[in-house]
Amino acid sequence: MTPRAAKLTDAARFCLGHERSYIGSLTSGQRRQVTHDQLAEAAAEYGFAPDEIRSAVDNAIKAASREEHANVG
Amino acid sequence: MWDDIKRIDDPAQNVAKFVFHNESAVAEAVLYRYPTYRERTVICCSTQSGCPVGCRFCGAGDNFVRSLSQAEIVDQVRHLLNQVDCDPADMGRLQVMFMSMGEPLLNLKALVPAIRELHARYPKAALLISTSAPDVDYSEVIRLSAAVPTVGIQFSVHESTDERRDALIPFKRKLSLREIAIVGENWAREVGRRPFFNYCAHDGNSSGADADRLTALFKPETWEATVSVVCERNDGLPATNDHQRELATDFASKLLERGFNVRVFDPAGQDTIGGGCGQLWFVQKWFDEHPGLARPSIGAGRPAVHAPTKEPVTA
Repeated sequence: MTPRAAKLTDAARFCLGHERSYIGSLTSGQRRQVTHDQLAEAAAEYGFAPDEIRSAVDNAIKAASREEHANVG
Repeated sequence: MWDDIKRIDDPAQNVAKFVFHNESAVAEAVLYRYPTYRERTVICCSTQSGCPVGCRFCGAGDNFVRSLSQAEIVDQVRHLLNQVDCDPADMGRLQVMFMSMGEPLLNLKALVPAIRELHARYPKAALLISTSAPDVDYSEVIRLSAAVPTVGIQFSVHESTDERRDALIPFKRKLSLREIAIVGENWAREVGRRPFFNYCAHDGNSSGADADRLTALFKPETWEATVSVVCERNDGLPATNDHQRELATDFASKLLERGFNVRVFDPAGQDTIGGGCGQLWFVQKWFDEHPGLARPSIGAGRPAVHAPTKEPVTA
């Protein structure tokens, strides 16, 4: 994993934690979209090109989710 | 509770400082009126004795004693309001800010019940949590803010890059600027109110590039901005000057141009009683007199930041 991908995975871990504790009125799909939007902004800041951002965010969310499942197990 | 409470009045009588101590802790709280207590009363109170965060412009940044209890926090506010010739229910605005000394979110165990008690006692009071953004569970803060509609949050940002912010705020277990932006957006979304970021302007952090970086992180449609003067941390050094004020107002203009609602914070009593943020003169004296209780924090020994002047300040 590249340093910027690791940084984005850290951010994904952070965002997923907030997603889990969300108390507002958004649906889970809408709330996940918020996570995507926040991570897309972070990815741009970390130097991902516009055409890389979507897959970088998906990968970061997958990596962070895998860790969560591993931790649960 | 508190064994002794000293009151120190500013000669202009619009701000008063209160120093609380008992056998194991010291705290300060400040009472402001704008221009009368009936119109607007502001209280800054402490949540910890000393502070483990170590901000380099703060007089409490070199030592930590302990976290204050719920009763010790509430009693500061109660005592200050007892000094005022106006019932809190009759005040046009009453603001209680958890920003005098200590990191409120490193004392959630006492802060959360203290806020609930203060809201029950003074339902009109705006209760502002001012935080350096330690890496804690923000869901508890969001739940509290959703349940108590007068709670606000302000993040002490103070620099536009993480590297510079790490030097100014040496506490390690804290959020990055990007994470602060995310937490603030989440807080706003779930609570339905706007968070603030606070920025102390000095010569090295007030350029257009700094304003651009902040605008990229903190969306003006979500965030409100406070630009503060850097208050002089050490007693005996001059606190206020025109250069320092120009830095704050000029940087406020830059943020305003970029779409932020901005307020400038330039507290009263800085040269007389240490009425500004981080001017914990009496606490510093107590630290010196109680070396067994005041343990060095992560800030101890690091260079201090003083009020900016056109001439260099020697401490």
